[in-house]
Amino acid sequence: MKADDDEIQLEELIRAAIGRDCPPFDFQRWQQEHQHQIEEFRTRTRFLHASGTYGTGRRATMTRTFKIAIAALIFIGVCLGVPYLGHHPDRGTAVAQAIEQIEKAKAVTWKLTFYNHVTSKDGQRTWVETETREMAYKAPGLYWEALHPTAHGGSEHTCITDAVNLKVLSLVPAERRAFLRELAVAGAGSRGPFVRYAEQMNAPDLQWVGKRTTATGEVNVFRRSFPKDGSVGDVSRDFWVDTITKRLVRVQSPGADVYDPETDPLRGNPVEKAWSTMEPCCFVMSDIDFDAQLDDSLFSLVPPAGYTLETEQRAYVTEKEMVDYLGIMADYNDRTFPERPYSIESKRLNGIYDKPKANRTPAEQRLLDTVDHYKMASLNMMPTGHFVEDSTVKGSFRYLGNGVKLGDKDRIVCWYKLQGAATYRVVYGDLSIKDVAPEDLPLSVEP
Amino acid sequence: MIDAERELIEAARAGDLDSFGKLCERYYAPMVAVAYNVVRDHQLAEDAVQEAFARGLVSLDRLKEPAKFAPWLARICRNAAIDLMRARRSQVRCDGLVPAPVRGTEGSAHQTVREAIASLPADVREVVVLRYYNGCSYEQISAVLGLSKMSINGRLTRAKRKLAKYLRRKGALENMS
Repeated sequence: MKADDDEIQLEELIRAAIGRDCPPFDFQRWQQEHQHQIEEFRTRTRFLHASGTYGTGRRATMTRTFKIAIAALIFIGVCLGVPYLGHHPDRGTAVAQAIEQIEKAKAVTWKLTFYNHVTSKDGQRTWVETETREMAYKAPGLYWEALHPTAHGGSEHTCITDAVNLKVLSLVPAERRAFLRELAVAGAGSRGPFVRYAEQMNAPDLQWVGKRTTATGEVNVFRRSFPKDGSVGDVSRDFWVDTITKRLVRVQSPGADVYDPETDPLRGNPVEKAWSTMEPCCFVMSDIDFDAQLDDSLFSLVPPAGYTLETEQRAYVTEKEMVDYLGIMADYNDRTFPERPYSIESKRLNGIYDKPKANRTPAEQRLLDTVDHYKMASLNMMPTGHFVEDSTVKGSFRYLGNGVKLGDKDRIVCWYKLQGAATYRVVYGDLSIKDVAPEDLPLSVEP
Repeated sequence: MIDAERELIEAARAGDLDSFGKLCERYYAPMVAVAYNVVRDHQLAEDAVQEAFARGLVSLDRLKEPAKFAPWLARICRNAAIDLMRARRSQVRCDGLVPAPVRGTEGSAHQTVREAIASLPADVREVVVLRYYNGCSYEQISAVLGLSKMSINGRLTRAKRKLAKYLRRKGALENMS
């Protein structure tokens, strides 16, 4: 008994001295910080696939139990004809054909509709308002977008974006004015508007929700759910695939499990002119035509005759601005560098925006002013993101600042290699910068 | 090794990044313990594991025996932790490597326990850290070190005997009672 007690006491003592609850592994964040290695891994595995090194081995390791379990699931699904465990018997074909269509498409048109809950000025009544845009895409990376006035103003205008050459032309017909801006990043995907949705549909956890009848026929509704960590922005996304043509006919985000525009109890409420708040509910991409015939002139970045053209070059972030921004974030974050180098979590940032200006601390106000400044300059990736993207060697940026105190001259916050440089720039907790040879860095770096 | 894990390893070797992610999630806690055994600093241990996973990913095609995935990853992890500590020692001050003195009886008792653990032979110390740093099960320790549960139990028993002796000599066990 005494020996047992001693052992328990000893174990408690050891746990107290070295024990710790290990935080869960954040794979998404890890991927963001190791893109170079992931790229190398993909290159290697592509090569190995091509040379036939893998494949047979994998098949051989599929166990008998696993095969029986899969067969049983398919059998039950087919027999019952219901979405057993969210899998449709025809899912493989339907989704595969829809994805193939998306990947092949060279010219696409669709409608983009936003659903918003708008509340009256006195806060007493809420109604649904929609805003619909006409959209077109032509490979590679050319977008055309027509925006219409809403119940609360705005003007008719058209935007043409070249996501490859990072330029956008805005046309305002009423004023016969055109604005040509350079973009810091491609807001629209250069691979096409639906490719990322095809990738999401290709995931193993895509679920079949059921069938739905629309004005043009019957569709299978598939749903992808996402963790509520803000990484995707929504908690779910619905994909409607026509049962006959096997084409994607609608994308809705979030899915109908979160918000369904057709059953929204507020949808019949009268629209008022004066309003106080507007809350986005969902967006829907519909009327999708993957065989659109589009003329090149639709995507011309040359304004029509008679338009006045104003041009605006994109802004760049200097190293000093980037380092100052890190310091501003740390100053706000209890004088400690935050977990991520790019921005403070939007929830916390919105919390500051919601405070009256008089109640904000100087550090909070400074952070807001800085964020607003870069947003106004269309630098939405904030100084760290743009500086890393524009001025450093790809994959060389490494952030080690999480928990480092602002002012600590001995602790490293981050390092990166400037384009064309032989050494790394190392930023310390006191915001000083030193040039360090790669072999002298605390962690190994790619040559 | 259970079939599900074998499937994950094969899928990862065939290029499925998500499967590699699932393996990382599964072995993150034991690997942090492995790294902590080297660097003795929580943050550095996590950094070392992040680095080890990156090294593991790009050399996955060189893993000869999928059944030994976890010991292979643990080896990479130890090396990453050693590299990290070596580099840190030569480059920057690292407060965590030498635990800061803590005032009071409890702090000094914890310090004594850490010294006692540090005095154990490396292979035994690793088992102790895996077991008590973040509570790895015998199964996890067995998978990571490639040892039988019997062998782990033996090492732990020997370790505890030595630790108890050390701590009694220093009066730390009595202090806690």
